[in-house]
Amino acid sequence: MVELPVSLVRGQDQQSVEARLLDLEPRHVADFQSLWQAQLRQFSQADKYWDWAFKERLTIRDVNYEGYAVEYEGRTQGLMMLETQWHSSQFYPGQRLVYVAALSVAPWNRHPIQNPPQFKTVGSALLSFSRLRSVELGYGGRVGLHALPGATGFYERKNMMRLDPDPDDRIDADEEALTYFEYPALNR
Amino acid sequence: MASQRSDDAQLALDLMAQLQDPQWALEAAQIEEEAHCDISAGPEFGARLGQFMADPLSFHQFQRLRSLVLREFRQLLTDGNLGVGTDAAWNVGKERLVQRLKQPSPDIQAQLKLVLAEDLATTENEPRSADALALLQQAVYAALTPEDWDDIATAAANAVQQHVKRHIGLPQSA
Repeated sequence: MVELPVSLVRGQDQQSVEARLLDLEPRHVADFQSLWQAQLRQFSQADKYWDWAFKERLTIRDVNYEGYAVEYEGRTQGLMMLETQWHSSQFYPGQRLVYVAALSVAPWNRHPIQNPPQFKTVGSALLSFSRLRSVELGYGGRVGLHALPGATGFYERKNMMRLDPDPDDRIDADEEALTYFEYPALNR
Repeated sequence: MASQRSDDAQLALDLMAQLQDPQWALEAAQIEEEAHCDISAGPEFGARLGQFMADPLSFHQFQRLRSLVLREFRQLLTDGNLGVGTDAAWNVGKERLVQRLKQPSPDIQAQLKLVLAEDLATTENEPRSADALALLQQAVYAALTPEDWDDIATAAANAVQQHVKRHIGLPQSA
């Protein structure tokens, strides 16, 4: 069971506040549905139809999926699902990594929706935690993910290695062509 | 090994401390400010969600196998030096391979399972062996029927013919 203090930055006054990073629970999914989703739809966010209830069930059913949430003052500020067994590096064949299957922050914490965001660094904290899980699992901090179209700038600035989608790899019309990013192993 | 475990434990502690460090948070906030964009990540499965829900492991392994086979097919075409015919050959071959992989015969299934097992067993210290590569190439050859290969060759030949006609200014055929 995970319960980790994480430091966020309040957008209004740049003061740091201490939030908690926790295992994904039904109340976080309920927050997504009741507090997030209407705004995500209003602002046409790419993750507006994500089914976090399904993802939460997946984390209960399959040990290789893990779900986490950042919570502050009883409200869900960010959500993440990791896959820990089936993915390996796109740059270093055979090296296993933690794959960020889904990462999302509350609409009020997004620059394009609210400026300044209510809390900054929710996504950064979740991403950093994925590296922590990678280290704990013996993968050295290697993390891979596919960024949604509006998010590539963030992962570039996090100095992740980038692999643009190969049009030849797209087979079905419903397959998304997302840019892949990867963190290499941390220096031991 | 013990030393690596100790290093990992220290790294984990460092990352945990970083998460709680207000200074780190301010620096991370600065990066988010500069990026000034959404940070969402993760593919959705769209119309393939049903397949994924039914059996996530098989779904993932099929994706992996498909990617392996297609990449090897592309490599075979590149090695074949088809020039301007490469893209046409690739388009026809890719479509056929994807069809064949959906419902492979028992013999082909057995070969594909071996390919996948070899790939899953590949580690960072033990890159893909020559045997595994040969297995993969055999699977690509076997998955496509002789008619598929004829169609691939025809597509490449037509593309070359059209290119030559364009190049020397001959009238284009339909």
